[in-house]
Amino acid sequence: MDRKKSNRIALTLIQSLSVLTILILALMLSYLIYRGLYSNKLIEREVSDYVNYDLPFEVYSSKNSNVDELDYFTLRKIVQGKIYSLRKVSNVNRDIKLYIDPSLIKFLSSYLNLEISEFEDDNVNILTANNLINDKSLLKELKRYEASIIISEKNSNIKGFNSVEISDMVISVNKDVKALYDNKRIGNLKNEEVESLINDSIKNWSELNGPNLDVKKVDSLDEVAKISGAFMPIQASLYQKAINAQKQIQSLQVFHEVSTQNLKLNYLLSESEDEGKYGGILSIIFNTLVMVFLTIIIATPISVAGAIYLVQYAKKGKLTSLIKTGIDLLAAVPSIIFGLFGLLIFVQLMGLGFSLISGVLTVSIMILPTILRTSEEAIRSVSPSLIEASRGLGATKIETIFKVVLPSASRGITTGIILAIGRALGETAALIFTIGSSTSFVSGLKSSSRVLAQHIYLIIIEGGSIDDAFASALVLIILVLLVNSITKIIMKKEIK
Amino acid sequence: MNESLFKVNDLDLWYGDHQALNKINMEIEKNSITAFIGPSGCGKSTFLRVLDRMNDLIDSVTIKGNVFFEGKNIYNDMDILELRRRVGMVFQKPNPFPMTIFDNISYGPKLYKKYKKSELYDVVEKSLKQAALWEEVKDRLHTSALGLSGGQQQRLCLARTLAVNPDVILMDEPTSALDPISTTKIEELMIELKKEYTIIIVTHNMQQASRVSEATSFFLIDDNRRGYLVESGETSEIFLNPKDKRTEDYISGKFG
Repeated sequence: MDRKKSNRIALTLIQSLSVLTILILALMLSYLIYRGLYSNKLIEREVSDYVNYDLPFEVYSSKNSNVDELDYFTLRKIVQGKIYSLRKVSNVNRDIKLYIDPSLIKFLSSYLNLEISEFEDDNVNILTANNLINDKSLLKELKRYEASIIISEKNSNIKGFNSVEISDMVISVNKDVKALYDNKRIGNLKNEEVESLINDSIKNWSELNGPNLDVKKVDSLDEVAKISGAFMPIQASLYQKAINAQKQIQSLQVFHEVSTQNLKLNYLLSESEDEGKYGGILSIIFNTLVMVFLTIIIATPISVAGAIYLVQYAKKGKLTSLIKTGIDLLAAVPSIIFGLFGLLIFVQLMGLGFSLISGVLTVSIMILPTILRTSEEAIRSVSPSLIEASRGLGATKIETIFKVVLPSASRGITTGIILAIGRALGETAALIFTIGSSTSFVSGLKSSSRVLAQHIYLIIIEGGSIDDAFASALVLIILVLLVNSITKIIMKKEIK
Repeated sequence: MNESLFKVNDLDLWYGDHQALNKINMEIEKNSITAFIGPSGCGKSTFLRVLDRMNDLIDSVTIKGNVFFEGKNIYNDMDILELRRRVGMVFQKPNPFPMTIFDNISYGPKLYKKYKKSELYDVVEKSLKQAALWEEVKDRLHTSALGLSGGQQQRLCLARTLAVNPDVILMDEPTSALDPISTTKIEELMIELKKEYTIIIVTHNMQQASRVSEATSFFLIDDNRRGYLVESGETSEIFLNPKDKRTEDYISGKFG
């Protein structure tokens, strides 16, 4: 009875552990895939997206601009020329091409509280909407360009562009509301909080972590300035006007949730810009594949030859076991040490510089033991009777090795190569010191380069976008899967 | 009496320090079947492997004495690869290469000569027919040899040996891993092949030795665990009228 019980306990334990493993794997993988594909960000802004006022104009942006929503203040700065590139707006590193319908100039001037002379001259190309729609080649150029913004009349129906929503409601408050109180200050509001505020469900500012003041909804900005604890939702245009008129009012910052598609085809298919801060990763994917390919080309023959020697030729003895211990040691050495070695030997001593070839040689040495050990096992497990059969037919040792031993061991050797590819693809530390960091396509063995795993590292280190890091990570995972399955398919064909 | 093909004089063999064969003298006739019998570990397989120098694959083996094949000393006067082509071997366990049936058979011939595809096909067909396997596999020459049954695999190994056109076929307990029906097939084949080839077979199966062989050699192991030849002669003589008491005891099942 006791044995049965302990069996059952052991089984339950094993089952729950395996389920746990699968759960952890699935969780991590699905999070990586989710973060790679989608990005959810909270941005603090002066406007809330709770209410949008009706505007007599419409804003369009080109499909690749990533802009489908703008707030009043950003739009104002764009028209003013204070924001001249989309990099701060949507992480697209392109100067904005802005087109404004001339019939809207007057309205925009009062809406944005800007003198017409303040409209930035260099960027603002003022065309009539009619012209723009009829000028097919110009429209086409704008459509292709990553940072076009068109402000035209309502319902002008320009096809092939994003329609951009403008958020322009500000929660204006009396300055007391934002004062430091009991070492606390009112924080950024969430959209639900804005909603409750406007619907009068919040009675006291302390509910929003603010001072102990009653919430008072008022109807004019003058009251907001005068009455302690007063607030008023107001169109940004009017708020801006009041600020310009030196009214003593302030606004509450509101969290804006941006959820966009992260990994886009465009990101995959365009070259990196500005040292990887912007643009895509096509060049980096290419460099990664080149690096891995060269590494395998160099490391495989050396390590398979080594494995053949160890199994078929080396006499059992101290030297052989020393070599084997050395190989095992090499397999366990952290990759940063290989990087250091590569830096001293290939980069400096041999004068190869921070280049593709330095990186490739370093990683080759690093993956040698992986391929060698698995190949050795595979070659050792080839049945001696096959070798006898071949030798019995009069084949020489070398003929037997090439015609019988290696083909029979090919599955094991391929496994070693797959493991090595996985290691090379994910290698970062050994490459930081050796391969350089250029984001452009490699032009030769001596050109500096950057691979995906290292790119992820550099993005984070250089304070780049986390979203880009996750997108690159997803690409890397897919690449590993792809390489593995391709190798498996090739292997299966060989065996048939 | 046929001419003798192998002539072995005072052969000693060591595995490292251990002597495994002691003073073997033997003659083997052409176009006959010779059976080696004896209890396990008596060195008959080792001796068989001397005849095509397969023991050379093991580093620790040393040999003293002479083995003549057609009058030439195989350790001095003959190219080892030529010897192995002319003296083929079929092993205890079927050991087809993990390749297609066609590639298995053509493996040997391709080592010696560049063949055109049609010539190679002829060689494969001829060998498979000799091994009585052709009818069973002709439709699947390009599938893996590992898909065949054990008996078929052993005949494939025989065909593979025949494909390099040897003079002698050494068989190291070729039917010990096979069922009775497959065994019968192999035995029939041996009798058929005797016309063109000299066959030497190691077997634990007394009936097999008496069924197929003309000559039989009986091996035993002495107190120093050295294998030696007790007697050899015509199979009928050995089985019905052994000269040595030990042979009689072994054959009648008193020990072994």
